[in-house]
Amino acid sequence: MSAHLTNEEMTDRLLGVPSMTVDAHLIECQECLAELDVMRASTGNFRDAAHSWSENAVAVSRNLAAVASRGRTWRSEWIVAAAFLLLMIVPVLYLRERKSPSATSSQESPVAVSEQAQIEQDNELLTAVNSEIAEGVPAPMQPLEVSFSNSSASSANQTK
Amino acid sequence: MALSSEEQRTSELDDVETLMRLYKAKVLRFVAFSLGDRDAAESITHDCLLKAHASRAQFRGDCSVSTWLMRIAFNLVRDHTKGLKFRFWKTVAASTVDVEDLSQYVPSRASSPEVQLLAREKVQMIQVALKKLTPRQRSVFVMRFVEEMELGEIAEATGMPVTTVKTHLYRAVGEIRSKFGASQ
Repeated sequence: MSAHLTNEEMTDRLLGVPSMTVDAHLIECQECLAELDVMRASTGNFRDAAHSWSENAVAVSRNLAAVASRGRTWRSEWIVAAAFLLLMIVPVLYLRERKSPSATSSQESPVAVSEQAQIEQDNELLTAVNSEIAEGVPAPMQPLEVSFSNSSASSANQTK
Repeated sequence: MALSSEEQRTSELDDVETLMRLYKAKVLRFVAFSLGDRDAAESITHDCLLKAHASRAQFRGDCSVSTWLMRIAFNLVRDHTKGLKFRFWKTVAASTVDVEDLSQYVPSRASSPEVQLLAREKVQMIQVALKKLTPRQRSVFVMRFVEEMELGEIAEATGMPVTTVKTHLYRAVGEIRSKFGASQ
């Protein structure tokens, strides 16, 4: 009996490549035949397991995507509800503000009075300043003006 | 009026939703088992399908949509692993999220609990053996033994000669055999 199947021969047999030598060996060698059966069964099981793993993985990711999109829908529904509430509340508040102008003006009247008094005071001050300016020489400068006018009168007498 | 097969192919590419529905699982498992990183696989699968849709005008129809998608996915996996080469291996290991234990997805097929247990162990061993392979070898293994693509289709999708594809498969089968042998 020849030596056991090499990796090349085993692979070729798994790939379905015909070989008279391998056929002859497998008739004689139960060990190689058993090994070939195990390899066939195991690679087949590996293939089936890989297929069900990937299908399961895809189904899970599809479900996750569906849940996420449902979550997004819920969020958008909340946003719409909040916007609707705002639309309802804002006009009501605005109308309430508009309906009560007299109340606000009566409350503000002391402030308005004090403002009026301030304006009158300012006006008086401005009038005083204007009159001082209109006098020509400011009050603190008036003694100087008197002494200057006296000295100019004496110099005029001297020249005469 | 019925669509011709080529028209049907291009109509698949016209709609992202259809692409996702028909091919997402296939591309996801190819990328996930090529990289062994669940998070990266999700993102690369998404990129692959969007890229296929965006460049659908370049699809000449000389192969199936499935093979064309595998080519795009293979290139994206290659680019991703190239990028990883520049990162310190510990950082890479810490940031990857392993693909789950596949043994829990092994179909029961009404066999005895002992046979079930054995089958699950073998599937786990294949997963461990795949970790010892390069991403390229893993990709070729997944294309052949999970996606059941012909050697010619794999060569077309990966841009490798058929002999190189076979060499990668020999290496993968060898690794699995040694895992199985060690367990006996």
